Amino acid sequence: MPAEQAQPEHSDPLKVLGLVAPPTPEVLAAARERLWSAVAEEMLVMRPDTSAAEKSGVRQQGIGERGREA
Amino acid sequence: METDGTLIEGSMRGRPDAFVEVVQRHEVAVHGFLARRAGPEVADDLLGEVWLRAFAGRGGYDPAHGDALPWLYGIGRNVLREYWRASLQAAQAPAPDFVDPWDEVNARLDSATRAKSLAAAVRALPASEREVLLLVAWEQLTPAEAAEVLGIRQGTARSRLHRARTALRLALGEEDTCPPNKHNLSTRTR
Repeated sequence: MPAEQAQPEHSDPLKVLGLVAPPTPEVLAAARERLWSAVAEEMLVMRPDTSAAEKSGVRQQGIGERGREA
Repeated sequence: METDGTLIEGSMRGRPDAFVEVVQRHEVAVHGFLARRAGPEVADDLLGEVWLRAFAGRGGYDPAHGDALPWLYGIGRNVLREYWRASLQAAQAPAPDFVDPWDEVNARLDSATRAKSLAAAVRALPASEREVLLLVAWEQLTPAEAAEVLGIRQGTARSRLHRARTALRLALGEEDTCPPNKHNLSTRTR
């Protein structure tokens, strides 16, 4: 890219002072991994309710099936 | 595309993993925010802490705010303050009331006289004015968004920004060969 085209992006000297290299994908992934741990923990807390509802549904369905059989 | 507000609201209502999408949208910007103020290595270490705090505190987020970035910067600022406070306490120095990135900026400066003059002028600003100025110049926030990050009124942010720019122009006008109005210190507005 010609220098003239790159110039506008860096024309503000204050912005130049704030230029930093972007993070590596590994850094972003490591930070996200910490978040995923918290997300997974919350999903696990939610899961027993879901499992209970599912089991309850299965049980009721089972009873219904047995009822029909009878 | 769902807004950040919608995703955060969804993450509170049975879809906690929706929060990860918010993070993916803003992770480079938040890392930059941290790196500009504390250096890349510290930013690498603190980024995960910002996500954990944001996730834990997302119940307090107003979903009407479509863009979560100012909120995330506010959390990043708190994480930085605690980092600096801990670092200073380790060195047995008094804790600062604000985030001060200038040690890191000095380390990044090259030998350009103009950059040094500008850095000196910014360093000479009161910290409260400097914070607003850098949120606008570095993070591309509007004064209203900077006010949200700092937890101050919009009018206060605007007046601090005005004072900072005036002081900077005066300082650069005295020291720099470039006329003050050549420095692009413009504000993005929404």
